[in-house]
Amino acid sequence: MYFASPEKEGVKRNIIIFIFISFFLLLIDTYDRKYFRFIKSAINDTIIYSALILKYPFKKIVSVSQGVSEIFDNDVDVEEVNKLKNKLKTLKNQNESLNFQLKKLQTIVNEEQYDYNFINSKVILYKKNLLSNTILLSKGSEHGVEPGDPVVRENRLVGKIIDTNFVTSKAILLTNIRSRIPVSVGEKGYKAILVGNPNVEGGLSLEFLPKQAKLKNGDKIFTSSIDKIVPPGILVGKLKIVTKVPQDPNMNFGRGKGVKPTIRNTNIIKMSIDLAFEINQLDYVTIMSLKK
Amino acid sequence: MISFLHRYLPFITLFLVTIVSTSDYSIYGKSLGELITLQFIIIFAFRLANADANFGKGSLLFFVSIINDALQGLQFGTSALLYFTIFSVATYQAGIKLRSLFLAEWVSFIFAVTCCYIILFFIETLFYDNPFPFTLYGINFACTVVAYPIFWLIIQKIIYRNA
Repeated sequence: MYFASPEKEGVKRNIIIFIFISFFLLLIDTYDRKYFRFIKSAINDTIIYSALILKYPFKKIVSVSQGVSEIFDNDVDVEEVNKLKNKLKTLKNQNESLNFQLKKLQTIVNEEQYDYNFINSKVILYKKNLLSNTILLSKGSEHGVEPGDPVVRENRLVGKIIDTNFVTSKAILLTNIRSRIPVSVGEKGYKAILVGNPNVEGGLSLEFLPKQAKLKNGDKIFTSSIDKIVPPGILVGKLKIVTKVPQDPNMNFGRGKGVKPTIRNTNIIKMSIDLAFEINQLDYVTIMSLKK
Repeated sequence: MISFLHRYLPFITLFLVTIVSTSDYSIYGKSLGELITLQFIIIFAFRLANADANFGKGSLLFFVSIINDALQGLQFGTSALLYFTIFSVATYQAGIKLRSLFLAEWVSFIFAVTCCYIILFFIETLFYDNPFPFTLYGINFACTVVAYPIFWLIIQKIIYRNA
């Protein structure tokens, strides 16, 4: 038989109190972005860095076991490292020269020019579960990071910042259901919106693609600039189209608004988008912060 | 020491699961965190297996929920609402049971998880203004429910067998 003990009654009372507190917190956090934001940023930073310290031993155990297996791997030698260093220097110089040429061309065609600060950041945590598909970065509002800033790796779009704390920030990946990125697709640069969609293969779908769009397998997707949301020309990924017969170059891929693509050609078995980055490569990223 | 472990093992387990990300492990291309919500199982199974497992009368559960919110980048209070829903159903079930009946516990776990998904649906649509990914949540619900017996076996029959 069940008897209500004082301890059990205490638990019941606390459950009700904590549910009220949680609901109250949820309301404040959603609607008061001014005063609560400072407290939240401080709490978030403290918890994130404390969690990193606590997680360190677990990471160390994994890395030690990996390190033991790498002891016997002598493939990487000094000569190879020096070669790579020289290559990096050459590429940096090439990049500078190309940027200079691009700016000149942009001035000639009167294209809007945006200047960005490139902030290198470490990915301190990657969370992919039911509630989130996000990365936590080691740079925050103190370093000039702002919500909306694009996150790239090797000039490939990874996602964008959605929230900042003082010394950390949260970014959603392109595959996140909340992600919406204006893109241009294929050689003709059809405008569309790249949407995170967990219900399709690859976790991405294209919306508002013109109905007359003619695309082919391997067509690249780049960002397109709309109202300074993201800088144009960053590689996002490429189309992967599987057809029953060799592909007709004039096939249409029009899609209406919505989650399910309306593929017009009956020869198409499936169409997906391959991202230009691998999730497991995300150890360091670059945040592109728009200069004021 | 043993009495301390007996009392705080549920909290320690929940805390470690929250800190050590389940996103690091994947099965068939899906991360473990996407497939199973381990926290729900831990709270429910420990609460029923051990009468003392009241997570500091709920205060430690609230503490872990805030940590989870910070690490996941969620609005504060989101995890707490879900955890306390599971915890309250488990507390009720622990109060009415005369002896451990797996089937009854499993059914009440399914009920608790369903309540959580309904709350999550309202939070996602009202507070986050997000489209609700039904497929993802459906898979997670099914896997969490199916995984419960395994954890029930480990917690009830192995960890608390001699308790």
